[in-house]
This record gives sequence, C-alpha cells and structure tokens, in this order.
Amino acid sequence: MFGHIFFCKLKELAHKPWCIGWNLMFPIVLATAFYIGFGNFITDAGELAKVDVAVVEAPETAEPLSASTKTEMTGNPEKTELTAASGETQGFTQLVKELDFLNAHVVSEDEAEKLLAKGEVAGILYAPGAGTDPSDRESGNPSLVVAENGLDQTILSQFVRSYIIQKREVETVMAKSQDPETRQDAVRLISEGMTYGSDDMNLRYSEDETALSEDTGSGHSESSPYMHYFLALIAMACLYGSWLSANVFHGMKADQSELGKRFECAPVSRLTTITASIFAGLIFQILCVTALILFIQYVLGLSFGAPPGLIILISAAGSMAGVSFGVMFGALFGRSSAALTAIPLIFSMACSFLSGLMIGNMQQIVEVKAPWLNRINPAAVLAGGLDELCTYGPGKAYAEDLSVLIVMSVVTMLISSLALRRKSYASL
Amino acid sequence: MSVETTVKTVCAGQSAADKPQEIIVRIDNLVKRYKEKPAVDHFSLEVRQGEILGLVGPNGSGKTTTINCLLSLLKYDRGEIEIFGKPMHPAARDIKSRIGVVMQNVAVIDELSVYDNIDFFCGLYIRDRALRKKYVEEALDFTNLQEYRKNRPGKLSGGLLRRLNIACGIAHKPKLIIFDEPTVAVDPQSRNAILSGIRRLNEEGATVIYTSHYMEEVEELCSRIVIIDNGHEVADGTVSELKGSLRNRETITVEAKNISEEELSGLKEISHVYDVTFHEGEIEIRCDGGSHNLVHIINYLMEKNIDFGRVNTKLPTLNDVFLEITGKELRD
Repeated sequence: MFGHIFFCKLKELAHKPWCIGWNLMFPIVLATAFYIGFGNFITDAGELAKVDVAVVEAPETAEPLSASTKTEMTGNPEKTELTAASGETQGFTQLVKELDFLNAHVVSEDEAEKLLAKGEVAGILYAPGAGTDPSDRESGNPSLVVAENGLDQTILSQFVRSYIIQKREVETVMAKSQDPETRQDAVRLISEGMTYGSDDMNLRYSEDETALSEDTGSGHSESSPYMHYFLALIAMACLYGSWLSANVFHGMKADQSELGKRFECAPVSRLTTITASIFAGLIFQILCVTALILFIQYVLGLSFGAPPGLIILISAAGSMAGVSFGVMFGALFGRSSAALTAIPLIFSMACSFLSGLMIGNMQQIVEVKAPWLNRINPAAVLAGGLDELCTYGPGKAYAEDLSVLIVMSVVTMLISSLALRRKSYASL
Repeated sequence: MSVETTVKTVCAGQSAADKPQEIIVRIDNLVKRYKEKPAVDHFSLEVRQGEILGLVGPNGSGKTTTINCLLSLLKYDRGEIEIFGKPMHPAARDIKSRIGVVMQNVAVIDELSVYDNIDFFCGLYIRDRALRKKYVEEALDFTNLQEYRKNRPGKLSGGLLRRLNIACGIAHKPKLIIFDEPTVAVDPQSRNAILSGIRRLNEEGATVIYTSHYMEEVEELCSRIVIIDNGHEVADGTVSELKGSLRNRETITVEAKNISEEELSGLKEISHVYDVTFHEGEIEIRCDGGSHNLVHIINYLMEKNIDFGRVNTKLPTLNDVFLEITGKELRD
C-alpha cells in the first residue's frame, strides 16, 4: 500500500505545474540569473581586480593574543620571523598585504573611515585587538566594517570568516596536542591555507595557488568566489521542500480537501497515507535539488570543488529538513490554506536571506549579532555545511552540519507526529 | 408539529411489516454539535440490505454531517453507529474496505489520467493488481469513460467529471455505497446516466444511501426516504407512504373570471374539499382524498352557471411532502 501511494504521489507531483515551476525550474532559473548577473567574474576569477581595503592595526596597548598561539600561528616558515616579531596584529596586517586579491592600505582609524566614506575602500579591516567592538577586541578576532553590500564586501567578509575559523583550529590544536612537532605541523598547514587565503574563499588566483590546492585535496581553489551564492541557492531550493510538503500534507487532511476525505474513507491507516505521500514529496525534492546541483556543475560549468555525491548527500539532508518543517507547519497551522502557503514561503525565504542568498555576508553578520540563529536556521546550516565541504572537504564540520540537519528533521517530525497523534476531526 | 408526528407514526407502522433484510447500517441516537449548536440531534436510522435509501433535507439539516459521522470522518458527541453489524470507528478497516463513497464535491487527482485516478483509488482497497485492473476496466465501462481513459480531469466536462468521481468511489465493488449529492450541477443527460448507474449498482447487490436536494431524483430512485430537518428525522417511509401522509391528496385548479364568496363557500361544502382559494382568476381547490373530485367540482360550477376555462388536476409530489414537512420559508 505504501508503494502504491508513494508512486502515485510521485507521479502526481511530477505533473504538478507549480511543483515543476517552483521546486525545479525556479532555482535553475535563479542559478542561471546568478551566472549571467555575475558575468565574467565567475569564469575569470583569476583576473579579478583587487579589493581595496583599509587595515587598522591595534594600538600598542591593546592586549595581544597568547604567546603560544601568536608564535605557532605563523607556522609557515616564511612568515614566522615577521609575525613572531610583531605580534598578531602585525602578522594579520602582513597577511592581508600578501593576499593577491586585496589591496591593503594600513592607516589610522580616522583615515580609514574617511577612505570608506569616500568609497576608496570597500571596507575597514580591524586587525585582532583593534576592533571598535569590545567583544571583538576581547576575542582577539579581526573585524570588518563596510558601508554597503556588494561583491567586494562579501569577499572581505569571507576572508574574515576564514581567518577566524582557522584561528580557532589553531587554538584547538594547541589545546589538544602536547606533541610539539604535531602542533607545529598542524599550525603550519593551517596557516599556509590562511596565508594564501585563496582556498578559503573559493577564489582562483594564480597558478601557484592552484598548485597548492592540488596538494590539499578536492575542496580547494577550483570554484568561484561567487559560489557562496550558489550554495545559498541550493539551501533555498532544499527549503522549498517545506512548501511542497505543506501542500502535500494539506491535501491529505479530511478537513482541508475532498481528496483528504477520500483517503480517510479508505481502509488505509493515516500514518501510511501521510508517510508515503511525504516520502514521495521528499524524493521529488531531492531529485529537484540534485538537478540543480548537476546543472550548476555541468551546465553552468561551476566547480563546487567537492565530490557531487557528498554535495547531494547534505542537500538531501537539507531537503529532508525542509520537508519536515513543511509537515510541521501543516500539522500546527493546517486549518488555513492561506497560512499553509504563506508560512513555508516566508520560512524558506527568511532562512535563505539569513544564510546569504541575497547579501553574501549576511551569515557572517548573523554570526556576529546572533550566532544561535545560524545554528537553528536550516538554510544557514546547509549553506555552512556546503561551504565547509567545498572549502575543506568532507571533514568534521561537514559531518556536524549533516547531523544537525538530520536532528532538525527528526525533531520537527516528532513535533508533527505529536500534533497529529490520534487526531480526529471536530468539523469538516 | 402535528404533521411530523403523523408522518412518523404512519410510516413506522407501515414499514414495520416488511423487514426481512439484514441491517447494513444502524445509527442510534446520534448527536453531533458544533459548539453548542446541534447539527444532528438524537438521530436514528436503519438501512437494510438492498435498499436505496434517500436521505433528504433542507440545507443545513444535518445530512452531510450524518454521512460524515457514519464514515467516521467526524467525531460525534453521542450515539452509536454500526455498519455490517460492527461498530464503526476511524480504524475499522474491514468495514471501510466494503464501503464506497461518492462525495458531494469531485475528489480526483488533477495530475493523473482518468484511468490512473480510478486505479489509484481502487488500489487503496484492492491490492491484487490483476483484479484491480479488471475492476478499473469495469468501472470505466460502467461510467462510460472508456474513450476518456487517457484524459486528465481538467479536460473533462462537468458531467464526465462527476462520472469519474463515481467511478473512483465504486470501482472496488463496495457493498455499501454512499452518494452525497452526486448530481449537483450536471445536465439532464448526465444525471439520467448517473441515476441509471446507481440503479444498476443496486441491482448488482449494493446497498445505497443517497442524499440529494432534487426531490424528483429521490422519488424516482429511492426505495425508502428519510427526511431530516434540524438534525432529526421528521419522516421515514416509501414515496407512497410519505405522499399518503399528506392531507392534500389532490389539487384542482380552475380558471374563472369571477366567483362570489358564497360560491366559494359552496365549493368547500363538496365532499373531500378542505381548502378553496381564489387568486388572479384562478380557483385552487385542495382535496384530502376521495375519488371523482374533479367531476363533483365541474358539476357544481355548471350548476351555478360559473364561467370557467382550463381545468387542471395535480397529485402531490415528494416535493410537496418535503415542503409541507420542512416548511416553505427560506432557510439560511
């Protein structure tokens, strides 16, 4: 019976114009629009103009990073001497200066603000300990101030994010490993990646850096700096599953549709009917997202820099989360068909917005202002997971994000089943 | 009130005589309230095997609510429902597997073809693929939809859609079929096809519960009729039993230019005439039985030298019974 309902539902969904339009075609059209909109920047990333940025160093009185971190952060032999001598701020400044895609102007804070106001720089990078926000100074993280949103600002934001992530990794290695050689090696590898920066940002700079990326695995350097937008788009497409499942669910309820009444009259348990239908919705959604991923990779020719199978795997988990949220909306707000259209739509668009679909550095802004939001936003988790996968390959962060998405799905399904448990209709 | 009491008494007395068939549906003292307003109010009903039961009533009288409670689509406040001798509840799959439902509104999947729709809904009842295929073909033949088997519902006319709706409800050959106003908004040809189809299903052994607003359909189709109003039964019997319960057995209308009050009173004196009115050149005379009423009236008119034109006589219809029992005032 499950199979009978499943295959019929799948066939039904594959013939529904709005399913094909919104869940399959719309993300593909949007991907194409991104591709066209970004133009040559995508394919000619190696020829990108440098981003002008003002760098504000910490005053000498600012509290520096711990001595051990400071020293071992500069594991790259070429950088050791310089950063060890000048502290983390100067190391950071030196790093920024050496990056091919940045044109750093080391200036005072006042001067930086003037440059930003004139539009001569895309943003102000505050070196560790130099930030205007006390929390940034205490954390020892660099911070970024921009006057507007745009591609350059997104690149700067990605750089800051990558720096912070790698710095945390260094600190973790320092804390866990007692073997000085291991620590040194780990720090050297991480700081190499940070120094050359390009791989963190999925940028393609020069043949030298590409060579480096070839050494470090699949998750590096081959993809576009704009790939974050495509990853956020994949996350959005996955969350469109909420819309799909809310609609499927709506059609299964006797108090909402005539078809629902027919299902209730049939000698089939409600659990079987709903599960088979939702599973069909999930498979349909996964197929749509897979089509999107393959379209981006093979039709648009943009490399994710990661095995498609792993991208599809975490996207499938994202689709499952999207579908589960839709079922939960259906279970909790099922009485109103308008609400069942509006809520998943608002949910998917809001989550996508916060994950950086419209504004590239939105996820970083959220990370600073309300980091918990990035933990519960399935689009942010998925986009983050994809980002990690494309940047570092299938590591711990990828597995964590995958797990978080699965846990989200399980929790929302549990809420739904509690809301639906032994539900009978008081009115039709 | 007196009419209701009379109808129920007469019909109960007459139908008690022949109850040889097995009871398929038994509703006992059903109460369903929406908030505090009773939609079904202590309603009881028995449907016997082989019957075509017409469940009729004005809008909001509780017909569809009763059907929904019967099918366990709705939870109810009080009462017992048994189908095929077993208590009906939402998980009673053995009972549900023997019921076919044709809902008031068309409930088909727009994205599937006619064949696939019937196959899908039949498949909810019949697991055996070969048997299901046979049943689907039979349902297509039964509803004359063979030539539309590959069409999607969106390409079908209103009448064909209704037929598809019926095919989806009856393809699995149920023993009890519930039709909830299946002929709403269909043309006379389609309606006739639907009604003859229901008759054939009944002849093949299905027990039918049929709800409708169209009294002529119910009169033509149903072997027994239950009239429900304000959530409770107000009449139960065959068409002739219900008609027999009316005081008005014959209405005679006579075109006349003028008639005096004295002559109208004289008409009332004729045997079996109980009501005479004159309005816009037409005398309307109601009789409560008897035979040769028309002859007696024409004799009287000629005797009094009253000029009259066309004369018409009309026996009561189920519609008259319905209006007399449920009232002529408009409902919400």
